[in-house]
Amino acid sequence: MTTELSNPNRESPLAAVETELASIIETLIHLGVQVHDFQGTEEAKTGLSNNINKLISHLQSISSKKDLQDIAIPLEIVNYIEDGRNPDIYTREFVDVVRKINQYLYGKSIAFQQFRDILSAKIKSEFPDLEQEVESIRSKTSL
Amino acid sequence: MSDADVPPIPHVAANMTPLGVVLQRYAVHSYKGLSEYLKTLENTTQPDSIKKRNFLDILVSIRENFVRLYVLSKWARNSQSVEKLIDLFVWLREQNQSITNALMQIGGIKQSLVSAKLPNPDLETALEVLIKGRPQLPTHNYGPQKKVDPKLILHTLKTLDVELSAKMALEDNLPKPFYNYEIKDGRVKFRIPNLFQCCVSIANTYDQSGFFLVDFKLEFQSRDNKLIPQVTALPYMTFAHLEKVANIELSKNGLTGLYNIFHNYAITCKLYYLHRQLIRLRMGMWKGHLTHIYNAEKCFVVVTYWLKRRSVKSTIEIGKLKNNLLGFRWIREGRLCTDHDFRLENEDGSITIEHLIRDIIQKHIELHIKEVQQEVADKIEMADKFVSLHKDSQLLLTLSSMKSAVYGIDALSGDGFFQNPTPIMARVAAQINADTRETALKLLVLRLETHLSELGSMLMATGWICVDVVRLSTAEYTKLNIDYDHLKDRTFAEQLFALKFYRRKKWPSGWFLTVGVSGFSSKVQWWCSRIKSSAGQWSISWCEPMIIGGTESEYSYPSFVTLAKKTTSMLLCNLVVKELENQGCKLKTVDKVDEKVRQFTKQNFGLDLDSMRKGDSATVILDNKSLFNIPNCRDSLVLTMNIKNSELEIMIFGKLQSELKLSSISFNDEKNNSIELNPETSIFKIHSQINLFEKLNYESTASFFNPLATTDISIMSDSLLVLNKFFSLLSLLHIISHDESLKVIDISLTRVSFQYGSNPEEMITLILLNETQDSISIELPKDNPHRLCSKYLNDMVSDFDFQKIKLLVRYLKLTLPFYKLLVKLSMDSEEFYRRFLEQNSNSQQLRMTPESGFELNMFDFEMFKITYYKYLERKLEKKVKTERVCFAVTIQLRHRTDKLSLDKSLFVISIEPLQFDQYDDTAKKWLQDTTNKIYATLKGDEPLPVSGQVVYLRRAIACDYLSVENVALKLHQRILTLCSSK
Repeated sequence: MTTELSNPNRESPLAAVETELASIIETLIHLGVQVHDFQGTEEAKTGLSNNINKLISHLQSISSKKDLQDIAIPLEIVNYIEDGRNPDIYTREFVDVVRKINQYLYGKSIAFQQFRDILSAKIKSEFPDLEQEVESIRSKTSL
Repeated sequence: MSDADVPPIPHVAANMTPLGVVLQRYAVHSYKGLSEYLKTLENTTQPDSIKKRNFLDILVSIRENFVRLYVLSKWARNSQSVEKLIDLFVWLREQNQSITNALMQIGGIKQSLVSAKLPNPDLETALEVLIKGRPQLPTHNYGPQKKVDPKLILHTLKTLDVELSAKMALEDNLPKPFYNYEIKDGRVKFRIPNLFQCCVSIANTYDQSGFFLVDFKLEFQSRDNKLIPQVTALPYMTFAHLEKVANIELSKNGLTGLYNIFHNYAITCKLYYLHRQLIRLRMGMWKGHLTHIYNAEKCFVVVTYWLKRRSVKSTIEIGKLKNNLLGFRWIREGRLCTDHDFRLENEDGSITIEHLIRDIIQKHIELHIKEVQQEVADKIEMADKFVSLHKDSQLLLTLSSMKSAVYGIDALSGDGFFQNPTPIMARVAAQINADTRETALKLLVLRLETHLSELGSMLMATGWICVDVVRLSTAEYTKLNIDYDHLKDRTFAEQLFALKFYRRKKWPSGWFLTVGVSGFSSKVQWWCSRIKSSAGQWSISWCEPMIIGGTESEYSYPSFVTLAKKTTSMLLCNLVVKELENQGCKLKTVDKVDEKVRQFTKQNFGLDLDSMRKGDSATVILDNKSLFNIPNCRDSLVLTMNIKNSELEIMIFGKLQSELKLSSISFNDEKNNSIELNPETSIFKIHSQINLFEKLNYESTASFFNPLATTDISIMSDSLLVLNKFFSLLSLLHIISHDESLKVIDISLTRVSFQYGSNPEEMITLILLNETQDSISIELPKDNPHRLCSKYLNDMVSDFDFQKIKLLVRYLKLTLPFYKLLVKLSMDSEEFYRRFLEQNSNSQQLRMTPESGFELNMFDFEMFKITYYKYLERKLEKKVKTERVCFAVTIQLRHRTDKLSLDKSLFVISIEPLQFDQYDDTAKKWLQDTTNKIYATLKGDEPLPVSGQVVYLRRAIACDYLSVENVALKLHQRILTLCSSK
């Protein structure tokens, strides 16, 4: 599962944010060029101020997004991106770990069931008086 | 299990941040960065290129971060799935933990089941099986319990009691406190009153395992901050622990060990309760005054009381004594104190720590107060007059006859205090509390200071002024001869004795009333003194102790008023004495109370000192020779001084050795000085009054503020002057009165008149010219023959000397007849000429001169000449010429020696050598005849009809002063007759 593959809904708030961010990045590139080539002419000044204003209005809109509160970002992902690594790797590794522990536990539970069966059979044969209780325990603990 | 029953996986929210927050924060951050940068653009110092570069840097960093955010937003599409995964992961880990725990539990069960295993076959079990059919195996409480038959219980208990009795009886090492035990209900009950009770029993009759503990209770309880006797069970946990320890001890050391451990336990408990009580105590009014240390291990409590008291701390040490019982030791100011009968426990066994502390403190106070009393007694004599016990725990101090103070110790703080304190008491109390060692000394100091202030205020009220600047050195103190009899230890003399100096407003500087106040006796010492300051050092130039009032310690306002008079008189007397001494007078101040003195004055001067005792008077015997050396006077003069109000009355008595033939003399001068001389008793009395108020007032204002000014006030000057005059007078009188031919006519202090001749006008008045009496002048009546030579007489006595006066008198007597003669002759001569003029005026024939006569010529004061003349007519041719023939008789006083003497000085009457040459024969003849007749007289052929010493010397007659007048007159008559005969 990678990021690119799952792009369900272009109308979702996330999609809007993405476009906005792209636009900010673009504006920043423009600004950079403008600043680089700035000659002090009136046009240049106007263009520059327009672009700055545009950037600021973008920043304003992006900072007032209310519909992104339920999207939780783990701190580790932020660190990943900060370090320039692909967050999808994190996702993949995490899934892998969960899978492994799930399998381990599953094995354990099967082992326990077997132990229970063996123990109950032994107790029953050794203490026939306790058969009722043993059965009761078996029924309570069977999945 | 159905899916519906599955509980949801718990959601994990830790370490998650909403995307909105991330975006918002970065947007705000970048906006801030931008705006900050834009503000720096205004800065003109940076070149544009750098500005551009910085701007670009910022833009790039913002862009990079937005690219990251973009990545993040892309990833966020999966966020919900990842979130779920995270939850799942956390849940799985928990499950893993549960499974691990379950495994551990199974391991534990396995271990616990080991004991459930059947024992290995053995002989014992085999026998059991053989006898009972089955082995006796532990049931682990799985088998049902059978109820015990009460009868069995009762039986068992009875058996147990018997068993215990036997065991107890056989017990060898029963500790003494356990002797009193009770066997009941299958247990042995020991009771140690006020400590604990415990029960032990046995478990098995067959073996010798001994006792085990059944019950333990304390016999006391802490209630209302008291330990009261009350049986108290321990809390279960404590008991369980104690039981374990006790059983171990029982098995090791038997009942002895048990007793020891319980005894210690009970005592420790008690101590702990006491500790708790003390903690509560210290929160109340004892706060700050009481502290304690609790040491559970060493088993003691040390209570320190009077924390703020500056002395060695006093403590109460509560702990186990040598007899192993709880008790206390009282360490009073560092010393173990055993002379008390306090017990830690009351009669009923209860302990009230506060009562104990209070009792001990009370005892402490009493002991301390007694010690202070003893200390005072050690320091001074007659201490019981100063301190006495008051209510056992306080000292009643008799500070003065009017004031007393009660000194006590505050039970809480241990500070000394005075009841109803005055500021002085408060100050002394503060000093005592600052250092408690010398309490007695400070109490004595209090007495001193109270005395001082009391005296000071009384003296101030009666017009005395305290002079604080005067400080005497210790060397000067010895001059005062201070009475230290009441002080046992002289080392405190300096602290317990104070000298104060007082003066009156009108007193000149240097006069002081010195008051010695002591803390060691109630006696106040008074001195009348003169103190001088030189080079910063004060020294006593004179002092005399005095006693005020009837008893030595009593003084009152009236007595201070009289004190003023008394001291003034003493000082004045001293001044007078000093003044006399300065004039070289030898004198001795005598005690007028002395019987011998009184007898002496009475016998010699008829002076009754008793009559003068009322006032403040002093009597001094003066040595006559050293003062004026009055001739004809006894060696001793008596001077008495008497002060009444502000008048100083000085009287000087003296007695002349020989009687003066005088009427009584009594007169006053303008300065209130008077002299009386009684010629019958020869006692003279000089009485002079001095207004002290004027004198001192004048002198003191002039000199008091000037320390360098001389303080010698001349009080006696007037009196001495009078005396001096009088003595001069007496000397005169002495001279005069010895000569019977002299007759005193009038005497005053300044003049003496006496008659030396037979006629009233033959008198002379001697006038003392000035007060220093170094010269004298004479005054003669108009008709006195000596008026002729008054100037000469004046010159004679101008330098005053009694010898000269003697000389004068002698001279006057010697020359009186001479001058009388002269006067008579001159009067005769005048009469003669007057008659001649009368005749001339009556007769027709005017005559130029008388036919015969005489003329007087004075050569000097001791010689005159009588020139006799006669006009003889001589017929010369037609004219009748008148010729004057004259001869002279001289009368001269001749002294045989240099000294003037009545016997040796003689008058010589002689005829001057005749001048025959100038006369003619007739005249010559007359002269010859006449002189021959005179010579006949001078030769003694025709003696003159006079008596007395007359010697005829052929050409002259010598005679003494008594007969000169007569001789001369007779001779004069004879010559006149010769001359007038035809």
